Amino acid sequence: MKKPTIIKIDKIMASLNRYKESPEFKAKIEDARKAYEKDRVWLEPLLNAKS
Amino acid sequence: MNIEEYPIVANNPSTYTFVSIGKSGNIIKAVVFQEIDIVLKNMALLDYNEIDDNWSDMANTNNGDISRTMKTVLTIIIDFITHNPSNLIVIKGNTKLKILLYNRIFKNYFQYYADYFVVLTEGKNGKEMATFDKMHKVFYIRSKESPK
Repeated sequence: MKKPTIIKIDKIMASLNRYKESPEFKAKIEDARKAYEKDRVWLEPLLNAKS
Repeated sequence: MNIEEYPIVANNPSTYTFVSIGKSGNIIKAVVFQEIDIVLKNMALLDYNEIDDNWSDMANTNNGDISRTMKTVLTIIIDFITHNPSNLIVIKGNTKLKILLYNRIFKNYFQYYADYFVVLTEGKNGKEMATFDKMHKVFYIRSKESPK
């Protein structure tokens, strides 16, 4: 019989919350912010344009 | 696009999880929208490693279910942007595989998401819609209902 997959959601979410607070993940957020700062020159006119 | 997405759990307004089922087994994945500022949110697709109880956005799980995973991620983006129409989502591919994945998602599944959001990339002549005439590393997503 195949072993069932039991997901311990509390443990997984606690782990995810720790990861979100990690320097590694925060560095990626900062990386995304820098990309936006670089791109806002062409992005902002598009955001202000009509769809 | 007849592929069925995986069942999605919205753990909180900015975190969704699902289980990828494929040749490498069952892999728990999360899509997280992390706040950069009040409008701008970074989207990350993360994999859970049960052995070391940690998450990573660098994993190459090669689970043989890329189409179903793509549909699931798109469905999550649609849900998030529908609930947060004033937000701008930034997605930055951090590995070759992720860059390829996101380019494929937005190019191939336009019909699925076009009613809900637009994808902005730096293209020729400042075109608003992503043209995918080249590979993009960064994508911006805004709601079709985005306030002007």
